Amino acid sequence: MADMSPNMDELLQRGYRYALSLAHDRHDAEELLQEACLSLVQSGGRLHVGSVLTAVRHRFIDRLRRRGLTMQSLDVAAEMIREVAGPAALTSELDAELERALGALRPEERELLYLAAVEEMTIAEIAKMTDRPRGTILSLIHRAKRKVRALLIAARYA
Amino acid sequence: MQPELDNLDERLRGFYQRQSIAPATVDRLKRKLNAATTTTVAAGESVTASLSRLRRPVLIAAVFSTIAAVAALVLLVFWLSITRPDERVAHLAAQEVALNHHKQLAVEYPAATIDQLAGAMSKLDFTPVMPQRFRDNDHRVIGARYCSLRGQIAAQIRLTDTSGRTCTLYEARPMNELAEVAAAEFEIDGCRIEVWREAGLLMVLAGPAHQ
Repeated sequence: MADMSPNMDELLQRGYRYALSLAHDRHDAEELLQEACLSLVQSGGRLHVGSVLTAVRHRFIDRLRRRGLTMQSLDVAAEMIREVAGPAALTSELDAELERALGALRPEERELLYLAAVEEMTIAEIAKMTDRPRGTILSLIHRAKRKVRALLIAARYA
Repeated sequence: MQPELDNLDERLRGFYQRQSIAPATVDRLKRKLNAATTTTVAAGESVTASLSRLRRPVLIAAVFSTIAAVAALVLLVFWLSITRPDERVAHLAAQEVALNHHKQLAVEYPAATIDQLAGAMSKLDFTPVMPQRFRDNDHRVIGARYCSLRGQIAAQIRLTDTSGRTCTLYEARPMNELAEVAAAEFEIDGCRIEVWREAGLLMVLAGPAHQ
């Protein structure tokens, strides 16, 4: 993870995108970000990339637990095979396809794709953050990419 | 494979980079965070003050308990420092004797003289003797029983005077802890206790106070 101190706006946007990768719902992502940041501030913690992403992750896992689900639950993926809800307009048909494909992934798969591709974290950094073995992460990322590609191809020929 | 699938990472990056929360939402969130920071600081101070008030009685009780414990410890150390070991053992023996004197346990070996007791109490590792002070007055022996004094076998001898007042005499060999006992007098629980040595034995006499 880049060890820089982005300004607050950029920090909130990064937190939001990460929350979106987990929740795959714009409204939920905003709520997750808000709850995470407020809890950090109220507990006297500092807002930086690491703390915000971790707090967002914990909030998301708490929500799943309350519903009796986990990051690995297929039920979550099934629930999320839908377009991303929210007011933001899709910029292109390609984004719409990708969004649907991401919605078919489990939260943990989407999260790993996001951390690797967008946050450009190393496998070691992801392993530390998600508390998983490196091999598992590599395998999950590989499988997630294969799924997304397959879904994108299927969408083209649907 | 189609070109747009060749670089999935780039597509993912592009997709997520185009997702953002509206500036108005960011501003609202920032205002909330600022307010929460202020409230947290104020609440922190308030909570600290509340805890201080709540804890005050507990703190006072803890302080007084500590003072009492320290005072007791100081008194104990002071008592140990001003009393010699022989006086301490004599006092401990006197306390034991006073306690047993109040029990007024029945004699196991009724006897009229000390000599009779000497013959009857074969388990004693000494020969009981009549103290000099009782040889020329009207005290008479009623009987005796085995007992222990500071963990050592002793004879508990019951005597009475012409007025019918009873006293209890303990005799033991001055060994181990009792070897350190010096002559002393105490008044404990309404008993007058005298400790002395005579005929190679430790004598402890318990009777009514101001006898």
